[in-house]
Amino acid sequence: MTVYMFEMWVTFAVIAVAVALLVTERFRLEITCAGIIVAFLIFFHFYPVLGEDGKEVLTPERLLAGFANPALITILALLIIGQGLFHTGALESPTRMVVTLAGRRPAVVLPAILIIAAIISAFMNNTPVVVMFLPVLGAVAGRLQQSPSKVLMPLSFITILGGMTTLIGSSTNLLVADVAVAAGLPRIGFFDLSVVGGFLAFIGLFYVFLIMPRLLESRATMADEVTGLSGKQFIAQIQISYDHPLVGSEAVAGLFPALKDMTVRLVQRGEHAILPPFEDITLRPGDVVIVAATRQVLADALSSRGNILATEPAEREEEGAAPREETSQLTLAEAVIAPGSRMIGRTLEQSGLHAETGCIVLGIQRRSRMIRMRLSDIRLEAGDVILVLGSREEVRGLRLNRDLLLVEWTAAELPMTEKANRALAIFAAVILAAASGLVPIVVAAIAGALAMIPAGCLNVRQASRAFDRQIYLLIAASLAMALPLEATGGARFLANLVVSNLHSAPPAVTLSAMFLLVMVLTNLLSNNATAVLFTPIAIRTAQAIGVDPSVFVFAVIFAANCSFASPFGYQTNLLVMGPGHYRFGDFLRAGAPLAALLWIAFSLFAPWYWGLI
Amino acid sequence: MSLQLVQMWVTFAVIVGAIVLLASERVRLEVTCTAIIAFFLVFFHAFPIVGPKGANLLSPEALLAGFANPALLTILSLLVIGQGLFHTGAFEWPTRKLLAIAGRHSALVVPLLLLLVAVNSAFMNDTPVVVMYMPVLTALALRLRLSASMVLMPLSYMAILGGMTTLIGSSTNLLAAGVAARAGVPAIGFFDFTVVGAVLAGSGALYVLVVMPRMLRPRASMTSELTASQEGRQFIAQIELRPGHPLTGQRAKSGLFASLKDMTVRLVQRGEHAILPPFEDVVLQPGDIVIVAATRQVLTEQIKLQGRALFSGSTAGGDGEPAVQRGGIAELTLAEAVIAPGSRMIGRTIEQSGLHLETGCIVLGIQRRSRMIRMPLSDIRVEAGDVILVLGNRDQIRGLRLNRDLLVLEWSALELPHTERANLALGLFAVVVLSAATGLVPIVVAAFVGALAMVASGCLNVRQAARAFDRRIYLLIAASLAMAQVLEASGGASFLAGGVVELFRGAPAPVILSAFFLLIAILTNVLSNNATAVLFTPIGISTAQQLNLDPAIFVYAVIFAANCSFASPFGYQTNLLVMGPGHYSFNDFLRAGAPLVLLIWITFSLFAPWYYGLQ
Repeated sequence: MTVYMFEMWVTFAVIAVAVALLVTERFRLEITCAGIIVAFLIFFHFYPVLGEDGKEVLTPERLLAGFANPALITILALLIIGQGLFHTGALESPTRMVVTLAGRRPAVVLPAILIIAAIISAFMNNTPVVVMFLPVLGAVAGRLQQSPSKVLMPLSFITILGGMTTLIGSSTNLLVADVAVAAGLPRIGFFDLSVVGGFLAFIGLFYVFLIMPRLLESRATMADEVTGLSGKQFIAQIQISYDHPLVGSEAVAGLFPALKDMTVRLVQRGEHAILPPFEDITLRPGDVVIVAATRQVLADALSSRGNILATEPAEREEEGAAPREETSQLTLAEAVIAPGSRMIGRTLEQSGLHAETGCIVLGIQRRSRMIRMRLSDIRLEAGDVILVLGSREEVRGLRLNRDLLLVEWTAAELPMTEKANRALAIFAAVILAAASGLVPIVVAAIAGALAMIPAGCLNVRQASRAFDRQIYLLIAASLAMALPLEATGGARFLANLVVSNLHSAPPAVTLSAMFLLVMVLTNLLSNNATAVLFTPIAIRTAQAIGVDPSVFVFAVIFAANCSFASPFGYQTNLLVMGPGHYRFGDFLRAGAPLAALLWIAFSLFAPWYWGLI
Repeated sequence: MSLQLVQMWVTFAVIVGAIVLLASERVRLEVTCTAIIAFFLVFFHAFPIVGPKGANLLSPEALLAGFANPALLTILSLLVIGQGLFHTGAFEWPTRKLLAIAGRHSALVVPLLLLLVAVNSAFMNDTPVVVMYMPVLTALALRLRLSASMVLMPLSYMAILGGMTTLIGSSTNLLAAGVAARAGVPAIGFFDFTVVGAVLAGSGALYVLVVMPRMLRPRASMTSELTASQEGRQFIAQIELRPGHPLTGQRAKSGLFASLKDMTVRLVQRGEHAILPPFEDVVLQPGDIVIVAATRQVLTEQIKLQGRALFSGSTAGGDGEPAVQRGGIAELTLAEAVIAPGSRMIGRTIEQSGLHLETGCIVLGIQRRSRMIRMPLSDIRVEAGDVILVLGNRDQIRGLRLNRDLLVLEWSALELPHTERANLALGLFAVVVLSAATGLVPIVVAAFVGALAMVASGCLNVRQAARAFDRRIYLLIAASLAMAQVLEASGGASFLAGGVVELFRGAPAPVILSAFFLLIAILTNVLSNNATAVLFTPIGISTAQQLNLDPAIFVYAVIFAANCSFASPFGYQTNLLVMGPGHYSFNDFLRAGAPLVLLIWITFSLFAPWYYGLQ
């Protein structure tokens, strides 16, 4: 067999650059991924790698084949099924039952919901599980007078743990299984991961319930930040009607003289939000002015010029009421932009949120930071948190909006619709058909995703929003990276490197080392990319030391799922980062011990279970 | 009946069902396509077709492979490149030069421009070519006092004809070549069918330039429909309700506003929301904009009665004469605009698109496929190719010209700067075409690199590029490829080929080739080009093999015939795209397009056998 040293080192170099670019997020993910594929397409066209039969191995067809990879298509189909469950609110009524049943013992509610989330995530992509349970847990935390930060990271971790236990529990599992089959290993069955995965998940569960609550701190919410940490500031809304005294008042040096002692946060004009600094702004009829002020100032404003604050006839009757009550008609609430929301990629103005719901957006946080851009220039992304102001009714109306997840579960009963039942039935049928091996998983998933549409659970537009081009490109690019790694002999080279560095260590040690390596990388890079890249290396390593390669493939799966220690390692972590107001360090502090714990548990249990000792 | 026969007939049944569903558009295209794939996945999992090596020929991997088909990825990449050229306005400057040179001989301008279109579309997807030249040609037609319907259908046809001449000229060519290569036919080169293609395109171009102008009729535009009435020409006027305006607080009684008698209230725009007739319990509020239609007489009287402050603007008549002579009222313009493919307005309602907020223009109507849609304006989700009628002052309408989401069918003299990016986009395009044409790299590599370079160089951003990705094209082609694969593996292709050969037993090869061409040319007008080409390529190859002829000839016949989608607006995306702005009816396409299909068929039947040496 020809040795392709030059090609191998170029492959290593491209992969190293790709990993660096993906980790640093220097360019947009789409560009990096397409760039990886382009680099390989061009390079291997001019430096072809020949297989044993003398034919070119890395043809454009092969390098692009990742776009039709059955595992990738399964993942996309499962995302659509998850979206259908979310849109129909299929899991709301079961969850509500648990909440009411356990309602008398609040200490039980939290673990009960988390365990349900773990079980469901064993049979579903993790992202929709987190999306569905995030509002529930936010509400439970609110009722228990806890900060959401105490419950949201546990939710993300629990779903990841649950996802380790079956083949369709997470996208990583499906991808690794597919790469392994392509490398000639026997097919991995639906429940083949369940014993070891169940053991690891169980250990992790204990950590999440017993130790994590002590590690997590309460974090200030956006509302706290806007109203001042001391909570002394109140937000009030001034509707400028035609005869309002503020009409025509002009900002002088960024301040409105008529509103002294109050901080003007925002002027909403139609869909357009005008933000400080206010320069040459003249208030017009139709504007809505949002101010922050202490109770004292608001009370003064009411008693002296009551007509500034209260504008609508209904409110005018309550003139003279305590400002506490007056302003309490307005509610501040946080909402998360749901994945697949149609607001993604648009600015707030373009989303038409104000026109549709009447709520006003006061701020946007991304990854727990206020974005330093004009509010109207920010294009929303999934996981962004927005702070909305509206009347109680308007905010409650957001609860029905599937584009936003209100981090506050109101008691509003959503009717359990016929569609929800249908979505649940489709979901159950898919799981049963796949778990029993009646049809391959990819067939079950595509049929299920299709069935969601005629069943009315989703329309085509909503389904196509569940299609995530970043996931699509990233997985296709990862598969394209794994191919030359194998074809140029790079995987074998790295495997030999691993083996020779651990001279004649027992297989259990090599297994443990492999787990650790993958686990560290998965926290920097996406799970899927890590898993796809390491599967060929793991298989070659197992072959080099004469062990069943499946064992090493399982190690890659479990390790690649251990993305606890960084918010960027996994989509669900990123999703809870905003509403939980976590910092990067929070994930490191709470997640690294969990990853280490799982590593130790795996290193002790797995060799014994698979008889490697 | 053996299992294999059952499988074959089930395949036929599914394909026929799929064709019916796709042609009748009873179910959404995405659903049909996914259903086709899902059915085959389930069916051939239960009843596998076992190949010589004992493996299932129609495993999920094989059936899903269409999603990563290099030809499909090439097509998507070329769409991104086309979008880049469109967004940067890369072809505006060369076109303007041509117009300036030919400006003195106005009769020559239209044919010259159409020839330029054909040349251009030989190296590009047809859709972006039509998108880029549509505003130019309508503006030109206006200047020559022609109806837009006289130039737009020729535009679509010329783009299709030009697309026949090279491998990357249309998506159909790439797909048929891809399927053929997979079936073992030697790879088709960039210029391999250029000679025959050019002969066909040449004869077609003669027809389009000489005969078609006599067959097309001027069609009424949306503006003239809106302003026509029994009492003579109507003018559109706009009333902005400021606080204190006499109309404030008026309530509609049985659908009419008492103080606006003799005028038809067309629409009340409130913020982004458009309130349409019938008006029930609508109370006019400050901030509303009321759009009325009335004769000049009525408008002038109203101004005398109620004062000038009543109206904030009115439209000019066709003769350019303002509706109200001494009114001093701002002049408004009505203009038609087409929703461009890849526009971010697609899938949203007018309200959701925020068009009024962004541009100040008011949308008075939406036409789809030349018909007003019978739904409240605010419920319609716009699609690519829809035509909207917008009202605004001259500056606002001119501002739309810079908007790449809408194609304003009125090419103002406004000079768009030829930017650095336009040069960059042109350069990238040239490099892609050159490297693909010379065979330096495979076409899929050139296209993929070019698409990435468009984004990386800033000619498009990721969002715009992603909008060029058309999920309907993607799913339709993947489903077609799955159908072709099943047709081949189940023995259906050779069965049908055997039927064709049996039917023409004893007939000379040119006759069979000609009959085959005609069959495809008919079907391509009912079904999408790409689906037709993908389905018939295996049948064509199999027929050629049974007749001991070069399969490549039959593949070329499939390519040319599948491109002949002239006789129906639904056969091809560019036809659908010009249908709205040209205000064509279905029959217009049949009348003007069917002779062209026949002409191309006859030319092919006479020329191709001689050229390829079939006797």
